[in-house]
Amino acid sequence: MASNKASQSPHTLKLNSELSECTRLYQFLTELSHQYYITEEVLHDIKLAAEEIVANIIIHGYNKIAGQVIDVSISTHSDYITISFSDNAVAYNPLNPSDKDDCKKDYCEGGMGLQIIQSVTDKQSYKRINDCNVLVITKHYTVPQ
Amino acid sequence: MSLVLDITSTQATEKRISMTGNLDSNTAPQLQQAINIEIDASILHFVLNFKQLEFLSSAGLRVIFKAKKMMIARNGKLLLVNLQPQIKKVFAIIKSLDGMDVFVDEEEMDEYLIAMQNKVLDGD
Repeated sequence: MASNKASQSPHTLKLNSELSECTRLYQFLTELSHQYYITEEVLHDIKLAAEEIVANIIIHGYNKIAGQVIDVSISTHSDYITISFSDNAVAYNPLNPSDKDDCKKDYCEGGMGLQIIQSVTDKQSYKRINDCNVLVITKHYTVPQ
Repeated sequence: MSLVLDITSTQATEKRISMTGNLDSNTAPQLQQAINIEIDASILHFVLNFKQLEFLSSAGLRVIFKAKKMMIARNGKLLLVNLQPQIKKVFAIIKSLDGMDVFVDEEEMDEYLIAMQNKVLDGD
Protein backbone atom coordinates (compact mmCIF):
# COMPACT_ATOMS: atom_id res chain seq x y z
CA MET A 1 0.00 0.00 0.00
CA ALA A 2 1.52 3.32 -1.02
CA SER A 3 2.28 5.90 1.59
CA ASN A 4 -0.11 8.83 1.44
CA LYS A 5 1.15 10.90 4.28
CA ALA A 6 0.90 14.64 4.56
CA SER A 7 4.00 16.81 4.15
CA GLN A 8 7.17 14.99 5.08
CA SER A 9 10.25 16.54 6.62
CA PRO A 10 12.63 17.72 3.95
CA HIS A 11 15.28 15.44 2.58
CA THR A 12 18.49 17.35 1.99
CA LEU A 13 21.60 16.96 -0.10
CA LYS A 14 24.70 19.15 -0.39
CA LEU A 15 26.31 19.10 -3.81
CA ASN A 16 29.77 20.36 -4.66
CA SER A 17 30.13 22.67 -7.64
CA GLU A 18 31.35 19.92 -9.97
CA LEU A 19 29.34 18.48 -12.84
CA SER A 20 30.32 14.97 -11.74
CA GLU A 21 27.96 15.53 -8.80
CA CYS A 22 25.07 14.82 -11.17
CA THR A 23 25.59 11.14 -10.40
CA ARG A 24 25.00 11.70 -6.70
CA LEU A 25 22.00 13.87 -7.47
CA TYR A 26 20.40 11.11 -9.58
CA GLN A 27 21.07 8.49 -6.89
CA PHE A 28 19.50 10.70 -4.24
CA LEU A 29 16.39 11.31 -6.33
CA THR A 30 16.09 7.65 -7.30
CA GLU A 31 16.25 6.48 -3.68
CA LEU A 32 13.60 9.02 -2.77
CA SER A 33 11.35 7.86 -5.61
CA HIS A 34 11.42 4.31 -4.24
CA GLN A 35 10.57 5.55 -0.77
CA TYR A 36 7.56 7.55 -1.96
CA TYR A 37 6.38 5.27 -4.78
CA ILE A 38 7.12 7.84 -7.46
CA THR A 39 6.86 6.33 -10.94
CA GLU A 40 9.76 6.04 -13.37
CA GLU A 41 8.20 8.65 -15.62
CA VAL A 42 7.85 11.22 -12.85
CA LEU A 43 11.34 10.40 -11.58
CA HIS A 44 12.74 11.02 -15.03
CA ASP A 45 11.08 14.45 -15.19
CA ILE A 46 12.41 15.35 -11.76
CA LYS A 47 15.92 14.18 -12.61
CA LEU A 48 15.83 16.11 -15.87
CA ALA A 49 14.73 19.38 -14.26
CA ALA A 50 17.21 18.93 -11.41
CA GLU A 51 20.11 18.30 -13.78
CA GLU A 52 19.30 21.38 -15.83
CA ILE A 53 19.11 23.54 -12.71
CA VAL A 54 22.25 22.21 -11.03
CA ALA A 55 24.28 22.35 -14.26
CA ASN A 56 23.18 25.94 -14.79
CA ILE A 57 24.25 26.91 -11.27
CA ILE A 58 27.64 25.22 -11.62
CA ILE A 59 28.40 26.54 -15.10
CA HIS A 60 26.87 30.02 -15.04
CA GLY A 61 26.49 30.79 -11.34
CA TYR A 62 29.76 29.42 -10.06
CA ASN A 63 31.63 29.53 -13.42
CA LYS A 64 32.69 25.92 -12.77
CA ILE A 65 34.81 27.03 -9.83
CA ALA A 66 35.23 24.10 -7.45
CA GLY A 67 34.66 24.34 -3.71
CA GLN A 68 31.22 25.94 -3.86
CA VAL A 69 28.03 24.34 -2.60
CA ILE A 70 24.49 23.81 -3.85
CA ASP A 71 21.92 22.94 -1.20
CA VAL A 72 19.12 20.71 -2.41
CA SER A 73 16.06 20.23 -0.24
CA ILE A 74 13.09 18.03 -1.11
CA SER A 75 9.68 18.05 0.55
CA THR A 76 7.12 15.42 -0.29
CA HIS A 77 3.40 15.95 0.04
CA SER A 78 0.37 13.80 -0.64
CA ASP A 79 0.41 14.34 -4.38
CA TYR A 80 3.30 16.63 -5.16
CA ILE A 81 6.95 17.09 -4.47
CA THR A 82 8.87 20.35 -4.13
CA ILE A 83 12.58 20.66 -4.65
CA SER A 84 14.54 23.77 -3.76
CA PHE A 85 18.01 24.57 -5.01
CA SER A 86 20.02 27.16 -3.13
CA ASP A 87 23.35 28.68 -4.09
CA ASN A 88 25.34 31.75 -3.12
CA ALA A 89 26.48 32.77 -6.58
CA VAL A 90 25.72 36.23 -7.96
CA ALA A 91 22.06 37.12 -8.11
CA TYR A 92 20.46 35.56 -11.15
CA ASN A 93 16.91 34.51 -11.88
CA PRO A 94 17.09 31.65 -14.39
CA LEU A 95 13.34 31.87 -14.93
CA ASN A 96 13.66 35.32 -16.43
CA PRO A 97 16.78 35.40 -18.57
CA SER A 98 17.30 38.25 -21.00
CA ASP A 99 16.70 37.48 -24.69
CA LYS A 100 14.76 34.36 -23.75
CA ASP A 101 13.10 34.10 -27.16
CA ASP A 102 16.42 34.32 -29.01
CA CYS A 103 17.77 31.59 -26.79
CA LYS A 104 14.88 29.28 -27.64
CA LYS A 105 15.31 29.89 -31.35
CA ASP A 106 19.04 29.38 -31.57
CA TYR A 107 19.35 26.60 -29.01
CA CYS A 108 21.84 28.73 -27.11
CA GLU A 109 23.02 27.99 -23.62
CA GLY A 110 20.25 28.27 -21.08
CA GLY A 111 17.35 28.57 -23.50
CA MET A 112 16.79 24.85 -23.93
CA GLY A 113 17.36 24.18 -20.26
CA LEU A 114 14.62 26.60 -19.22
CA GLN A 115 12.21 25.17 -21.78
CA ILE A 116 12.83 21.71 -20.41
CA ILE A 117 12.44 22.74 -16.77
CA GLN A 118 9.17 24.53 -17.47
CA SER A 119 7.88 21.63 -19.53
CA VAL A 120 8.52 18.81 -17.05
CA THR A 121 7.56 20.59 -13.83
CA ASP A 122 4.26 22.15 -12.80
CA LYS A 123 5.50 25.25 -11.06
CA GLN A 124 8.74 27.16 -10.71
CA SER A 125 9.66 30.11 -8.50
CA TYR A 126 12.73 32.13 -7.71
CA LYS A 127 13.72 34.30 -4.76
CA ARG A 128 16.87 35.98 -3.59
CA ILE A 129 17.16 35.32 0.16
CA ASN A 130 20.12 36.34 2.31
CA ASP A 131 22.53 36.61 -0.63
CA CYS A 132 21.38 33.23 -1.96
CA ASN A 133 19.54 32.32 -5.12
CA VAL A 134 16.70 29.98 -4.23
CA LEU A 135 14.91 28.20 -7.05
CA VAL A 136 11.96 25.97 -6.23
CA ILE A 137 10.24 23.54 -8.56
CA THR A 138 7.03 21.61 -7.95
CA LYS A 139 5.98 18.35 -9.57
CA HIS A 140 2.60 16.75 -9.11
CA TYR A 141 2.34 13.00 -9.19
CA THR A 142 -0.24 10.31 -8.68
CA VAL A 143 0.41 7.91 -5.85
CA PRO A 144 -0.35 4.31 -6.92
CA GLN A 145 -3.20 2.72 -5.02
CA MET B 1 25.82 5.87 -14.42
CA SER B 2 28.28 7.65 -16.69
CA LEU B 3 28.47 7.41 -20.46
CA VAL B 4 29.98 4.53 -22.42
CA LEU B 5 30.54 4.93 -26.16
CA ASP B 6 30.89 2.05 -28.59
CA ILE B 7 32.23 3.23 -31.95
CA THR B 8 31.86 1.10 -35.06
CA SER B 9 31.56 1.46 -38.79
CA THR B 10 30.31 -0.77 -41.58
CA GLN B 11 31.65 1.32 -44.43
CA ALA B 12 34.51 3.75 -44.97
CA THR B 13 32.13 6.69 -45.23
CA GLU B 14 30.10 5.83 -42.15
CA LYS B 15 30.63 5.94 -38.39
CA ARG B 16 28.28 4.72 -35.67
CA ILE B 17 28.40 5.70 -32.03
CA SER B 18 26.24 3.67 -29.63
CA MET B 19 25.69 5.34 -26.29
CA THR B 20 25.07 3.63 -22.96
CA GLY B 21 24.13 5.51 -19.80
CA ASN B 22 23.51 9.22 -19.38
CA LEU B 23 24.23 12.05 -21.80
CA ASP B 24 24.17 15.14 -19.59
CA SER B 25 26.27 18.16 -18.67
CA ASN B 26 28.89 15.90 -17.10
CA THR B 27 29.25 13.44 -19.97
CA ALA B 28 28.45 15.60 -23.01
CA PRO B 29 32.11 16.67 -23.42
CA GLN B 30 33.03 12.99 -23.73
CA LEU B 31 30.68 12.57 -26.70
CA GLN B 32 31.91 15.83 -28.23
CA GLN B 33 35.50 14.64 -27.97
CA ALA B 34 34.63 11.33 -29.61
CA ILE B 35 32.89 13.16 -32.45
CA ASN B 36 35.88 15.48 -32.90
CA ILE B 37 38.22 12.48 -33.18
CA GLU B 38 36.10 10.02 -35.15
CA ILE B 39 34.10 12.15 -37.56
CA ASP B 40 36.54 13.38 -40.15
CA ALA B 41 35.86 14.77 -43.61
CA SER B 42 35.54 11.29 -45.11
CA ILE B 43 32.45 10.46 -43.04
CA LEU B 44 29.18 11.08 -44.88
CA HIS B 45 26.85 9.21 -42.55
CA PHE B 46 27.18 9.61 -38.80
CA VAL B 47 24.86 7.42 -36.73
CA LEU B 48 23.97 7.96 -33.10
CA ASN B 49 22.38 4.88 -31.52
CA PHE B 50 20.26 5.62 -28.45
CA LYS B 51 19.20 2.06 -27.62
CA GLN B 52 21.02 1.94 -24.27
CA LEU B 53 20.85 5.64 -23.46
CA GLU B 54 18.77 6.20 -20.34
CA PHE B 55 18.94 9.94 -19.94
CA LEU B 56 19.45 12.99 -22.14
CA SER B 57 19.60 16.63 -21.05
CA SER B 58 20.07 19.90 -22.94
CA ALA B 59 23.85 19.57 -22.73
CA GLY B 60 23.60 16.39 -24.76
CA LEU B 61 21.18 18.00 -27.19
CA ARG B 62 23.66 20.78 -27.88
CA VAL B 63 26.35 18.26 -28.86
CA ILE B 64 23.87 16.48 -31.13
CA PHE B 65 22.74 19.71 -32.83
CA LYS B 66 26.36 20.75 -33.32
CA ALA B 67 27.07 17.36 -34.91
CA LYS B 68 24.12 17.79 -37.24
CA LYS B 69 25.37 21.22 -38.34
CA MET B 70 28.81 19.78 -38.95
CA MET B 71 27.46 16.95 -41.11
CA ILE B 72 25.25 19.32 -43.12
CA ALA B 73 28.27 21.52 -43.82
CA ARG B 74 30.01 18.47 -45.29
CA ASN B 75 26.96 17.43 -47.33
CA GLY B 76 26.61 14.49 -44.99
CA LYS B 77 23.88 13.28 -42.65
CA LEU B 78 23.40 12.68 -38.96
CA LEU B 79 21.08 9.74 -38.31
CA LEU B 80 19.45 8.97 -34.98
CA VAL B 81 18.27 5.44 -34.23
CA ASN B 82 16.52 3.58 -31.39
CA LEU B 83 15.28 6.60 -29.50
CA GLN B 84 13.70 5.49 -26.24
CA PRO B 85 10.46 7.22 -25.12
CA GLN B 86 12.10 9.35 -22.45
CA ILE B 87 14.73 10.50 -24.99
CA LYS B 88 12.12 11.33 -27.63
CA LYS B 89 10.34 13.38 -25.00
CA VAL B 90 13.34 15.68 -24.55
CA PHE B 91 13.65 16.24 -28.31
CA ALA B 92 9.91 16.88 -28.48
CA ILE B 93 10.06 19.53 -25.75
CA ILE B 94 12.50 21.50 -27.89
CA LYS B 95 10.40 20.71 -30.96
CA SER B 96 13.46 19.47 -32.80
CA LEU B 97 12.50 15.95 -33.89
CA ASP B 98 11.04 17.06 -37.21
CA GLY B 99 14.36 18.34 -38.47
CA MET B 100 16.16 15.10 -37.66
CA ASP B 101 16.63 11.84 -39.57
CA VAL B 102 15.17 9.43 -37.01
CA PHE B 103 14.83 5.68 -37.45
CA VAL B 104 12.89 3.23 -35.33
CA ASP B 105 15.61 0.62 -35.44
CA GLU B 106 18.81 -0.30 -37.23
CA GLU B 107 16.99 -2.40 -39.79
CA GLU B 108 15.00 0.61 -40.98
CA MET B 109 18.12 2.75 -41.00
CA ASP B 110 20.19 0.21 -42.91
CA GLU B 111 17.50 -0.03 -45.59
CA TYR B 112 17.67 3.73 -45.95
CA LEU B 113 21.47 3.71 -46.18
CA ILE B 114 21.42 0.99 -48.82
CA ALA B 115 18.88 2.98 -50.81
CA MET B 116 21.09 6.08 -50.57
CA GLN B 117 24.12 4.09 -51.69
CA ASN B 118 22.23 2.67 -54.67
CA LYS B 119 21.17 6.17 -55.67
CA VAL B 120 24.81 7.22 -55.76
CA LEU B 121 25.80 4.17 -57.76
CA ASP B 122 22.98 4.81 -60.20
CA GLY B 123 24.23 8.36 -60.67
CA ASP B 124 21.14 10.05 -59.22
